[in-house]
Amino acid sequence: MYNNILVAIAPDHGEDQTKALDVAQTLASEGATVTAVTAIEPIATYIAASIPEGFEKAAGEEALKGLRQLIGDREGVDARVTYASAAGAILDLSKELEADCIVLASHKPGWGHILLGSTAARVVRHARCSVHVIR
Amino acid sequence: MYSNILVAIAPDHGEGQVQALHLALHLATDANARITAITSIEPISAYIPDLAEADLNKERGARALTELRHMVGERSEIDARVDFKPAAIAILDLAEEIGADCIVMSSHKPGLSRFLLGSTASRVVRHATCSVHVLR
Repeated sequence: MYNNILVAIAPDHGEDQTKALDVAQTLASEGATVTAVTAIEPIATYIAASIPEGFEKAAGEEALKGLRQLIGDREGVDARVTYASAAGAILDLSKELEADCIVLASHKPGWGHILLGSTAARVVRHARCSVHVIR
Repeated sequence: MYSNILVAIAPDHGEGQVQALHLALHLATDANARITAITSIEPISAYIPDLAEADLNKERGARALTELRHMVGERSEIDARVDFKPAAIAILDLAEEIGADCIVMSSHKPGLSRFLLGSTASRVVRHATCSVHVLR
């Protein structure tokens, strides 16, 4: 179905993120490249001043470890961490990798989403490739 | 993967629609999964007289359903439906009515107007309570 799939994983989402990897495997053609990515949101500058230096990097390393654990022994799945806000990071990386499909998990929509939209809606709005949103 | 899939088909969109049906079959757990295809016909603008609307809708609806059945072909296990509402609302309403666990739909490539206004796909993703697969 797809040859180059980007799976966005938010380790703090709580819900079962392995489902996103399962969906990616169902959608993958034989020999497809699958890249799992976690985005570390940048810390607001007014907070950054009171947080020890290197905090972001440590969070990134922690996220990468979590990602590798989640991937487990699935073959051909690459792990990446980016430091940008989620929707932007996913869209940028999908362009860089020339992904033909993005898989991401989303919260159930509530009032906040009706007013503000979600990361998933933003990704669908701007992505040039297929998008699979899991709920 | 999914057991109750809704496929949104826009008969004027071209080849992407057949791909959407294929993808729905691929995402289905097994042969027992329920697949429903829907085509929506946007309401006629209010300034066109009522008189014409009822007949026109009937005709457009019948034509859309024939096209949809033709597209679905021998896969008769796919239920074909036509609705007279704006696309995003028709899709979301039917998804809720049948308790779909996944919506499959194709979308245009985003351009500048979509950047400002969004698309049917982004509206569906924003409000759906189930998974959504957008094909581009």
